[in-house]
Amino acid sequence: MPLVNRLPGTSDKDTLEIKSRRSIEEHIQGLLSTYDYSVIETPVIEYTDLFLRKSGGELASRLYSFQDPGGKHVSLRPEFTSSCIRYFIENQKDLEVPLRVQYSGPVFRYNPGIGYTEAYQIGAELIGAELADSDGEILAIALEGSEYFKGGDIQCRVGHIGILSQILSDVGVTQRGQNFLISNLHLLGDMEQGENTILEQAKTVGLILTEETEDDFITSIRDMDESKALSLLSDLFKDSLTDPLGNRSSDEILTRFISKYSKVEEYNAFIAGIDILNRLIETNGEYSNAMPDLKILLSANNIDEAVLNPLTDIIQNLKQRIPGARIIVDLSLVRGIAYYTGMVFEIYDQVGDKSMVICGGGRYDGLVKALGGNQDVPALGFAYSLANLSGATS
Amino acid sequence: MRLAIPSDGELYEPTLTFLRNCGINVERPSPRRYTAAITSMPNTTVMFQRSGDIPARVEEGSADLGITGLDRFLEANIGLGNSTLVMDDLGFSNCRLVMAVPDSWIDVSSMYDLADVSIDLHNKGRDLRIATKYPNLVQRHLFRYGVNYFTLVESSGTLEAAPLMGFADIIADISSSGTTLRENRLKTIDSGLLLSSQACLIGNKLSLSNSEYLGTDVKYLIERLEGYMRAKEYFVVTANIRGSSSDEIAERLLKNGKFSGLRGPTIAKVHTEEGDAWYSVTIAMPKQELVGAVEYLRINGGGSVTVNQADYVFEEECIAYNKLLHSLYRD
Repeated sequence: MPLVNRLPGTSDKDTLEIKSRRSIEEHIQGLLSTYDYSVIETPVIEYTDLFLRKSGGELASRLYSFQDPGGKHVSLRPEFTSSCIRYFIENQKDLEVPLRVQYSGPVFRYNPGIGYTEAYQIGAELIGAELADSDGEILAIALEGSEYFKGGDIQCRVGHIGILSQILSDVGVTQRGQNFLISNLHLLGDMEQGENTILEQAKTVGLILTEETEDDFITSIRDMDESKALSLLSDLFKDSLTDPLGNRSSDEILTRFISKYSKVEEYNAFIAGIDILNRLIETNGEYSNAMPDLKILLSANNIDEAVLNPLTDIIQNLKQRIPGARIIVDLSLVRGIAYYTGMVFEIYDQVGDKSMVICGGGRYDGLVKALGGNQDVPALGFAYSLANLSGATS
Repeated sequence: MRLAIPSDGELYEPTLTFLRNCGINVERPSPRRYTAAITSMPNTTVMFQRSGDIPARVEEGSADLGITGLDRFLEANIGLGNSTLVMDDLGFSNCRLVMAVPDSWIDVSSMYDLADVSIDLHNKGRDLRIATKYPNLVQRHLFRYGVNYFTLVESSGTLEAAPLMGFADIIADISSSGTTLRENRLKTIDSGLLLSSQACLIGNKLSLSNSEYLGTDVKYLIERLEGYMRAKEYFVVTANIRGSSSDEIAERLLKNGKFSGLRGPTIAKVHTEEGDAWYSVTIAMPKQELVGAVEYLRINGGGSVTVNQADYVFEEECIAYNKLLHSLYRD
């Protein structure tokens, strides 16, 4: 019989490795417990929908997702946050707010070309707590733990999705355009090239019109009231709107046709948005240097510098907790997961010329509602990635 | 050594023809026999398998090598095991795996629109239904573009009719021309190309590592395939040129950089009755340079130009074979 191998990317662990993991785990759990974070365990397997609602895109394509023998669509957890929020929503009436929970365990992500990517996370979520103060608390705990495990220099980079959204909104970019630009922020930086790629993408997505479609017809449809536009279009497209229609009615198709073109961004505002983002992400650095630079940049663009207050408040709060904390302000940090809405951060351990992320997290105020909660609840959290931590300690 | 090749459909004849062109004659005693032999590869058994099953036969090691469509391999190899792509393009059975939506969906022109529609449908308690024979590739492509809510309808029959027949909304299928799509009132969309596919050679790293025929039959097969593939890019041009010596002619010809051929021209004296100074020049050159080359030969007093298709072009080393060896030893 041929040998049945381990799956690519997986590993067996011996006593020594397990002991080393447990000692790290115990230390962080101890630290979190002193801040009143209670340990919970959530299932390894959940309904796929839990992870699709808000994480989207990149993470979704890496889900270990399948139909169970009973036909349910299920997935192995790729992260803990969604499960913790589900736990909160399901048990809300019995739980005290703010809720502080901590967890640890393996998460499952598939990497094309590599297979299973082994990851063990230890983290915490703070649900329902006041702004700024809770951001400061989470940052302080994350830093405290990192200090203990660091192999070299610790660097904490902090960004803020909410500030980016607000600035984009100030220059006239719609909510949809804001989400698009923020999730494609990684394309910027390399000025010209990145800007062109973003514009091309935006055209494909239908956010801005291509030259060919930018005609009177689209503009007049956009300016018409919906019922009038509907009847005009159904006349116009009556030859096209025949079988097969699939699972959609011709009215649904036309309604979406209209809304697609009425959601088009104002071109100049969109360009201004890209422009300001380009400048914002270049202005990163040590907190005390970066903030004045950012304020100058904003006032030069007629944007009220008060937009930066949430970030200032958070870092002031942190400095009260850890007076010597060194913070790099980096607004290009967005962390790839679509559910973040406010502060985001990553902590790097710089060993020699190798720098790796040992911890990351952020605020996700929209997640409770997106996962079926009946009201908005502010929440944030962070997790250590144990594979990288063990690297630092060994 | 066990070589699996397609027993069915669109890949069967082209594969046999391709192998024959490579100088490998598969002798199948009767169409009902599912194994065959190759005279020039005495230690090899050919196994006829459905092209969709070949990746699994190679992965489990019941075949050491296999020829199948790249689409089939990538669809099956998502688990990443022992299989490896030995040659990814054998130059035949080209096709495209595309996403197609009804013509009537005038609001949908890209994958991003599809993402929007899938959320719309999901919110109304319906799912976007996609008929395909490639569930793994399709699922990956959909997630990549943020299409998170869908149902895959796996079907092995003709898919183009699925939307008209009502058991799917859209399809992801092989399309070689696009005519069938149009006849079934479907259209392709931006970013909807999942894969450009063609026939490929795959192998099982584990069984090849242990195979006693790695240096013989396996190498012979890959050499032949690569030699034939490379030859398709070359013509062998022969011409007679008048000149004082072979060195003098070489100098004249090499002034034009394109005359270096694979290495350089071969020049030999032609022994004529008149005793004239004629030389025969032979050179292998990329096909696209032929016309210019003939012109250049004429200017230099060349005539009687004959052009032949090269049967095989072998380099100092067999790239695909060495790459395979490398992947074996690395593991």
